[in-house]
Amino acid sequence: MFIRGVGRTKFGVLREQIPQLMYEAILNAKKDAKISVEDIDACIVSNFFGGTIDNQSHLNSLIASLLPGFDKQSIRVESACASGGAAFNLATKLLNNYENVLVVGVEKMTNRDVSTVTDALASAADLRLEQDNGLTYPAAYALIASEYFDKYGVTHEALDRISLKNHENANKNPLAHFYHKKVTLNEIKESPVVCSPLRLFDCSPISDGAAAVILSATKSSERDVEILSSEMAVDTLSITQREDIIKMKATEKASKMAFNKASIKPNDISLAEIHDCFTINELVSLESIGFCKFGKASDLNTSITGEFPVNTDGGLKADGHPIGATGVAQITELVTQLRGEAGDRQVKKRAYGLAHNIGGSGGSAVVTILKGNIYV
Amino acid sequence: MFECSNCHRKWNHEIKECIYCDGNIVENKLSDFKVLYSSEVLSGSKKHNAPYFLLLADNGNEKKLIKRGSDVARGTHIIQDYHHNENIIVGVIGSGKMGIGIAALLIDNWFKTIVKTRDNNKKDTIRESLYSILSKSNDHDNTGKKIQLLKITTDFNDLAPCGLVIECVSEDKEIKRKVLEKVSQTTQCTIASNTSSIPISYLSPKGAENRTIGLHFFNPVNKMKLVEVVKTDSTPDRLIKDALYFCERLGKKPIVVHDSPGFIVNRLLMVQLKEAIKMVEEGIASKEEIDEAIKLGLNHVMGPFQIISLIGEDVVKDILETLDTQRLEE
Repeated sequence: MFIRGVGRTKFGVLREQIPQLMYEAILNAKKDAKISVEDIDACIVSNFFGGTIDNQSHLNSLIASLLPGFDKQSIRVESACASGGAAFNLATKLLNNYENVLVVGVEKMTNRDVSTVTDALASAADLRLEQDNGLTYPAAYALIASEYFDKYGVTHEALDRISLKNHENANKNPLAHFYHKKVTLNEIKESPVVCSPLRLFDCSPISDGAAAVILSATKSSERDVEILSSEMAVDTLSITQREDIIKMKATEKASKMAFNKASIKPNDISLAEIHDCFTINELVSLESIGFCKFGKASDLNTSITGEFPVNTDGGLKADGHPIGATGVAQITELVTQLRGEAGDRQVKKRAYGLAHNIGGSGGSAVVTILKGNIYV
Repeated sequence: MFECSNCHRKWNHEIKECIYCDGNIVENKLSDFKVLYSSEVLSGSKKHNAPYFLLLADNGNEKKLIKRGSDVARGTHIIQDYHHNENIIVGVIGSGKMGIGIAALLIDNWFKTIVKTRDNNKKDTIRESLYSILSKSNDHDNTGKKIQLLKITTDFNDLAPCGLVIECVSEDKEIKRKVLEKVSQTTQCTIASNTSSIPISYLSPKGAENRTIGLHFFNPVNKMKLVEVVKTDSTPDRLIKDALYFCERLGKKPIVVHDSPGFIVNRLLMVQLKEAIKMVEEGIASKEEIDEAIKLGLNHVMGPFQIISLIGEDVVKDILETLDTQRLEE
């Protein structure tokens, strides 16, 4: 299984609507893959709340309007913030039947008040156990952060450093939401509290955007990147039903399966895209995947020039988090890095890349491992 | 409709580049849609209040269109999509609060709009206020496109190409009569008065009675859903149907009312306002207490004195005088 082409739009506050965003991402992926539309055998669209917020569902059918003449299998996948990862995962399964599969993830989130978006996002949480009792996602991750600080004696300063690192990476990514925004550590530390202990700079922004990937069963060029594994697992919908809220069971399970299938170990990975919807989640996830011991993630050197670069595109924090597009955009970043085409933000080692995409507070998780073309 | 000039594939969505070939994308403005079928929708939804008609039209060339509309026969020509109202020119006379509000609503819904004002020096101010209203609900590109639909004039003769002229000058019987008389001489189209209380039969210019109606918008025009569509004994049914359709296209809820002073809303409102003023004069309660009581006791959004200050004391006075004169005449 190979990734033949990737493409995306800028992430941020954009004037384009869902159809234009999807079209631009598909167009860019198609050009990158050097494939004709007629050779695409199936399509998977990933989107979280087009139905809730814009009353626009059934985006799998929209594909036929965007690609006149396309009349083959097309599916829409929703797994909250892991929609993109889940769509990609499903596409790898479809490669048993098809030669080329297109995955496109999209979300239109801006242009409405924040409370509407917060409610729509909260629909990924358990209705009776969580939503009805006031749980929003910033609040859920605030509880996770509180327990993490308490258990491991880590302070908020660790989160500030993640935020700063991801913003600095975004400054090297022209398509990132915060490409132009220069951020200082002081600004991060003094930003307003959203849900204590989390501050504004601990939270990913509300962004519009789309990303697309074209997967192929066979290799067609030297630029193609091999997919070693893509695995998905779930955990209980509500954090109230979990034994330990800072150990992400779905992430642990998906990671274990992905490493087994790829026949490599965590320390073989050169770079990772981690689901940092909130800064605390970058730490918790790195540990649940197995990159370090629990409580020790803040000791890792994860900058682009560091030992183990994480979220080189700026992550969800600063690249942006247009929900349905996020998991697909992680793959586009890994492919760009593994090909050695990442320009200013290019990492040195590019043997294997890992993408980690989760839904809600970890109720679903997808872990994908890609193999670089060049072994360094 | 967007089309690739090379491979001729077509898109409904605005795209910039063909995904199949390197052809240029051109935007085709389609016209000449004719109604194929219609359905009278009697059970509506939250977004679309019933009853209304849903029309399926086509242009005989692959392209179909779904539209809300009025009860029209199969084969009727309808105006098409996207910038769907650009083909109709609407004149607005007066640049006060209502004139500007109605002009903004029209332009926002892609109607070519001609605002007629008395003062040549006011042209820039009118354009600026409309631009600022539009920019609140449109992005930069659309505001720019929409403001191009606006023309401002001081000459009644410039209203000749209009399909509809809406008069919004001050609520003074004689001024309104003179203005409508002038419009009837310079146009052949439907003439509407935005009067809030004066009977349309009194205002209708001689010889133009069958093309004069009342279209009473409420202040603030962009927020208030209601339009009172006033018909007289001379108003043909066809004109009322067109007026209802027109109001719906502006996103309003039209209600038809027979010509009479104050129509529905102001006839009832003025009784309430008058009694409220009397109560203050008699020392029964203060303005603030009356406002609070009405809001809490009748579940109104505003009290009578808040309404007076919203409408303007001068306008309320004019309406009360119109209603009183009418009563004396009776």
